[in-house]
Amino acid sequence: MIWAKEETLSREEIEAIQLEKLKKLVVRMYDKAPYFKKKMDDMGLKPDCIKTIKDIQKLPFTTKQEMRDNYPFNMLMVPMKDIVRIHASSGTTGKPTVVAYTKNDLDMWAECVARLAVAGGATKDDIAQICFGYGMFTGALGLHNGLEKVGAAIIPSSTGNTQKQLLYMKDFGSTLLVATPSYAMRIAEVAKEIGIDPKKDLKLKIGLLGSELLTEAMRTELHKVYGEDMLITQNYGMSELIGPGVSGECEYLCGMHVNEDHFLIEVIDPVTGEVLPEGEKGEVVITCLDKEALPLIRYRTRDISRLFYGKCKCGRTTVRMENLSGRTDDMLKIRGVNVFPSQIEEALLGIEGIGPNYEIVVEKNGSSDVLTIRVELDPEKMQDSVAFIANLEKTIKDKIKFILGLDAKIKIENPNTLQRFEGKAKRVRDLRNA
Amino acid sequence: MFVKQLCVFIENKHGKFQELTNVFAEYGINMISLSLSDSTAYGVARLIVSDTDKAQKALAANGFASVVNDIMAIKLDNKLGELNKLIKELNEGGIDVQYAYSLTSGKEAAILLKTLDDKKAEKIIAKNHSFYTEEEIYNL
Ligand SMILES: [Zn+2]
Repeated sequence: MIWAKEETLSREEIEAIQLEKLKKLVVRMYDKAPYFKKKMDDMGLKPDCIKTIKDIQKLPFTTKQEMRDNYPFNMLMVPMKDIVRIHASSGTTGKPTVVAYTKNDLDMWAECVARLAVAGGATKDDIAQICFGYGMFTGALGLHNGLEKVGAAIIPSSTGNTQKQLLYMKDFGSTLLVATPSYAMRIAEVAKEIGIDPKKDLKLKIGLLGSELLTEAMRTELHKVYGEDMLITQNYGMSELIGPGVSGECEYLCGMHVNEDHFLIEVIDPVTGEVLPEGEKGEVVITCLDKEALPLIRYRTRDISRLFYGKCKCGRTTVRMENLSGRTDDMLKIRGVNVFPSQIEEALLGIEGIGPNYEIVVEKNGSSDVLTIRVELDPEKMQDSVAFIANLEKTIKDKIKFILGLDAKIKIENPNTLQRFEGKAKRVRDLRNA
Repeated sequence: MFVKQLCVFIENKHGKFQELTNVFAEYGINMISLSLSDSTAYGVARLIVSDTDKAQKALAANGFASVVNDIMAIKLDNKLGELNKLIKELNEGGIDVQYAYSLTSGKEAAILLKTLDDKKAEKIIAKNHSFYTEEEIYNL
């Protein structure tokens, strides 16, 4: 099913909508956002510089640093009386990033989430259990309002007390799970501990995962525990842009459909800032075309992806962004090699003999970086000799070396040794500057 | 004749082995025999215990990976040269020993033995020796 007619417009129709909205946006921001006016003036640009959709390439970028500099409310374009909701994302360093919404912004947000929830299989018949932490984080309320719009029955169970979560899931017959990939995995693990088989004892058939990267290896692992029939999709967004709702996968799993009538997406060379053609990898840059409280022009997401404009088998014509292979913010530089934690995850998952949890530790030894990967032994694969552990260690070491070109120390530990996560997993400990 | 052997994974870090013995003490499980093999980073403890099922469940609940398998428990007279005789018989039968550990209780002695072909080994051993049953060994 397709939720909105805007998802099936021709390219000309989509661009006409975008151009219309962009022209108005630039005029409004030049008028009301001093930080934007200054950048335009510095570049010698006037709001009437937008004649075609390609003219967006003339406009200045917006960075996360600007949002921090304008903490908390200096970037808002409407008075507080028009604001009906405030969220914040906890930055790991420094001040949180604050975002705010008008009534219309909330409606648009729910509409965008409804579209990608439906693309991921949701209908009004679903019983949707939202296992995202409710609070300042945009994920839970974003999915909540979008699924409510679809007409699903919402169970706002949030995170924590996983056994209770499973009780609801089983007794209420939840059909749809909203969670981070790592929490979805944790729920399955606890289910097993208390004697629930997710495949047989639960009715889950849809997983709408987000807020952290879903690697293909993790999707495969999740199918093993929840069953091959479950439709597991991921969706994309970030609080600066709106929260979840920017894009999401359909049942064909060939990239995430972008809600283009609200979010104009470009891919640029992160060094030169040049816009790259379709199919080329670069940094994703997004313009929020019609947010009232906090529109952003050409926001640099620091995420690396590429775009595909071809029509999808699902019938949607909206551009698809390829699933992220890593987030620039998560990248580690180890002995001069760029390493995405997701690459390590891809290497580890699927190795027989270890469980799905892992931790990456980077330390300094003299002038050299030491990479240690901690994994847990799968108790079902335990054998009676230490040689088996040594072989397992070698298998992991070789695979990491093959994928990253780096030597890693592998530490195999007993089950349940590593920390578990209910929201975004923190699987990296970089102790080099500690 | 085989008895149940419990193999437990132990990371070689401080206090880990005591964690294991604590679990056994807490759940009232008696260690009848123990052998510890290790590399620098990991160890596998092989044990004969009074209640293998209970022990394995207790270990799982306390975060230890373990596996149960069958091992031969061979009766030996507690005197010089007995073990040598046994190994010689196996060698002549073309059997390689994978690992072995012993158990003594008063006059009684047993060797717990794993080979690369336990079925064939069992036949060779049975000619000149007898085996402990599970019941006998748990009551030693
Ligand atoms: Zn599609």
